[in-house]
Amino acid sequence: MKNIVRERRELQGWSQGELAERLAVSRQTINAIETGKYDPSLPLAFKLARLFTAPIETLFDDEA
Amino acid sequence: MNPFIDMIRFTPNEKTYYRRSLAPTVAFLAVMFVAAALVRQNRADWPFEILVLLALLPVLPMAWVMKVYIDYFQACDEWEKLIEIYGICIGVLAVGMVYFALGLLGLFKLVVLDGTWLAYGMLPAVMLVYTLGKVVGRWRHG
Repeated sequence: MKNIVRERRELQGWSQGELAERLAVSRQTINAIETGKYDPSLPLAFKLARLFTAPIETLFDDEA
Repeated sequence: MNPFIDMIRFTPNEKTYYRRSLAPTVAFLAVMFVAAALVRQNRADWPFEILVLLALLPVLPMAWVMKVYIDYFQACDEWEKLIEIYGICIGVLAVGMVYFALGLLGLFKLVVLDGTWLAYGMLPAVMLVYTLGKVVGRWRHG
C-alpha cells in the first residue's frame, strides 16, 4: 500500500526513531511502513492518522 | 540507510531479549557440561532416578530461555511479531519436514538413524532455521 507517512514525518521534522517512540513501536516498523513493505494494522493506522491530524485515506492509498 | 544493514539491525526489543537470554544460555552450557560429566562418571554408583534428574537438569535453563523468549514476543510490536511468526513457522515447518523425510528413510530402512542425536538436535535445528526464517521475514517486510 502506498503511503505518505515519510513525507508527513519529515514535515514535522521527526526522525524515524522519534516517530516510533511517539507510536510505541520500533524504528524498523516505521521504516517498513514508509517503504511500503508493511501495511500497519488498523489501530496503528489510526494512531498515525491522529498523530498527523489527517484522515487515514490521506495517509494511505490502497490503489483500488 | 542501507536497506541490508537496516534489515539485520536488532530492534530495541531484540537487544533486550539477547541480553536477557545470555545468562540462561551460559547456565545451559554449564549445566549441560556438568550433568554430562556426572552422569557418565557415576552410571554404576548412583540410583537411576538421580541419573535421570541429572540428565534432565539442562531442561531448566532452557525453560528459562523459553520464558525470556515468551516475554520478548509479548513485548514485540505488530511488525516484530510478524517477523517472529515468519521465523517460528519456517523453523518448525522446515525442520519438521526434514525430520519427516528422515523418518521415511528410516522406516524403509534406507538409512540407519541415531534417534538420540535426532531427538537432541531438533531444538537447536529449529532455533537455527528460525533465525533464517526471520531473515526471510525481514527481507520481505523490512
